[in-house]
Amino acid sequence: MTAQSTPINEEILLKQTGLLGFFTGSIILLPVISDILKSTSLGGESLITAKVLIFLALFVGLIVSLVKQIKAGKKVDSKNYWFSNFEDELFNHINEKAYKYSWTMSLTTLIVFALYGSSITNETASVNQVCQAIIGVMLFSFGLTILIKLRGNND
Amino acid sequence: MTDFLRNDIARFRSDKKVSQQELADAISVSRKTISTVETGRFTPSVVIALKLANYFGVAVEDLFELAVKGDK
Repeated sequence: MTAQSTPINEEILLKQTGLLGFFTGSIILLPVISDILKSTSLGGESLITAKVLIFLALFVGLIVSLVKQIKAGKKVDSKNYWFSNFEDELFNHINEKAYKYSWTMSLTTLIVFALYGSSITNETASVNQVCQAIIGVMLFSFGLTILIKLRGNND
Repeated sequence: MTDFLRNDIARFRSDKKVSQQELADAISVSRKTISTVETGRFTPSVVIALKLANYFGVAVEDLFELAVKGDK
């Protein structure tokens, strides 16, 4: 039997999906940003400590949001959950906007890497690093858009 | 010039003395949907427009009207 989607359950699911995207994207982007900072005057012992602390905070956030997202997913229609559809029009609109912004940000990152890749990282960036950066930006911008749009419509 | 959708939902809602949540529950949408439609930040589909009109017992044109930016 599939669960009945209600606007409240869908709102919780969308919020947790946004948080999950934000935390996952941030964790993936952390080593990329750290590599960039390493080549500047900001690199050093304090950077490693900050990196570890930020990673731990993001990891806790990721686990909490993942558990909550799965829980929320069980309270909505399973087909909608897997196909990322929302019955509520506004939430579906926010979700689609997030995909749109995510695509634009990923494309922008690809263009930046294509044009200035070697000068950003001091050496030629590996395929792994480029993929990591794009996936990170994709998830981060997807999650952040959802959170901003949900917050902006909170009155 | 840009067209936009002006609506009278807030007035109809206050005349009927229903909250955003009550209206949202009645037409099976979220309170945020009602709030964003009322403030013009979200343009609803024809389905929601018809549900709102049905709820208030008026025509869709009484609830929504097309306006041009700059119009009062």
